[in-house]
Amino acid sequence: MRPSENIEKLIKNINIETNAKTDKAVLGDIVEAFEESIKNKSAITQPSIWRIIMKSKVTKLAVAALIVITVLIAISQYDGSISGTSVVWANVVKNTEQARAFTYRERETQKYGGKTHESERQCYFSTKYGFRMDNYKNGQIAISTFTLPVEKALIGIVHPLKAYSRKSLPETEIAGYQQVGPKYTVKLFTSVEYKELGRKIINGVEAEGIEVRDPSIGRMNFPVKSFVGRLWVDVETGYPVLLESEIVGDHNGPIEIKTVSDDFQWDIELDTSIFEPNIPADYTLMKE
Amino acid sequence: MIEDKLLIWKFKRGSSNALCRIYEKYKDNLLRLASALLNDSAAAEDIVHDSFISFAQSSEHLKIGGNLKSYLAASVANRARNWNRAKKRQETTGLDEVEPIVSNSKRPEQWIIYNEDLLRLNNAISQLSYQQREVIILHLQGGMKFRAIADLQGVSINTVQSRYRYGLDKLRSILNSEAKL
Repeated sequence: MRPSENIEKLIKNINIETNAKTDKAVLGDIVEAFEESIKNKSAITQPSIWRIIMKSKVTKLAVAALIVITVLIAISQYDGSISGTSVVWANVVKNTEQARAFTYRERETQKYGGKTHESERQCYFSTKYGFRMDNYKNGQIAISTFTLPVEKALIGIVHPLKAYSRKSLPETEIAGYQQVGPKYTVKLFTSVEYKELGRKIINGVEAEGIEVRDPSIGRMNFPVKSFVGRLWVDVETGYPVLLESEIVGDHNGPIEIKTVSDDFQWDIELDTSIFEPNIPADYTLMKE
Repeated sequence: MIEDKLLIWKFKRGSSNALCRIYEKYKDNLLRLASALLNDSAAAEDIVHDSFISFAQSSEHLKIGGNLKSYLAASVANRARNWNRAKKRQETTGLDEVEPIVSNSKRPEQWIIYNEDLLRLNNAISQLSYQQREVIILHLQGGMKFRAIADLQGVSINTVQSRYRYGLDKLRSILNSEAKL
């Protein structure tokens, strides 16, 4: 050590080494204390960011390290062919395929690690403008994602952090966003063996349903033990009114994910302003 | 900075991965800080251990006004000051037992591995008054602004800046005299 050196620099730059074994032991104590305190918390523990950020060809946004592929995105990646559909269900597939714009709400409940987490998303799809998904926590908007084929951009806005990310949308993935969520789920559910559920009234609408239990559909980033999916369609219009899925698997412990998509508005006009991110001036760009 | 914000956000929502990352990111800095403040390796290790335990238990009500590094540094500084006071009380009263201020956690081995530079610097810093030591260490190693240190010490910012200036002069003098020996 040379005393003539700038003393401030010397203090700032002095190195310290630690015993790796003790590092690990101390970290173990800390995590144990953390988990114990979490257990003692009230049942209103909030879900973490990974449950509200999707990762798929449609919404591949690097705004968080922990990402789960939700069931509707997972099944949208299935490359199944349509076969064995009845005339009615074939019309449903055709209707959804041809829908130029639609909106829907998606709610998800996860039971994992002894806790229950709930999240809600509002989604907007347009063949012309792209795909927008707003994730809500306790009624407050938390994260918005935009897939913009014209601008060839993927934008993620994390409102609680006043931050956003921006990535280019690869040419190869531009077509992928057209097969988002319920549009492709309908195609998928009708492409495998299904059980007819008959008719029931859903929100004042007479609907007819089918149920699928093919585990190969519910592909996730963990082993899936069982999958149940239900599709309910408005008998009069031939458009879906309710989509349900339940996945049970093992993700370093039991995990259950239930997803409900409803509040559909099919083949409507969506204003271009919906697909404008309008990032506030005081938000910071998150570097990857 | 944005990484810290994201880590805190995730930590408050139950992410142990975020907690592990915070630990990995700041443990060395906090150990260095506690070690310089106390010049007692066992006490420094206990204080950093306890600060992290306390932090881990605080996720539900955690509110960080400034940055995470300064928050953790202030937590360690507060504990270090309490330890110092308790030690003085112990020396004054001659009692062997004083109110425990750090946990009796048993670790398998010593945590900090001292090198010569660190030992010499810590020995030099230990010759400063505790207030001067705290200002210098919190500013240079804890990354705290003079205003935040003034709030922590309950004095004016001018006093903090004076302590910093005189402390550095004294430290320079101690290290120079060491070099001449």
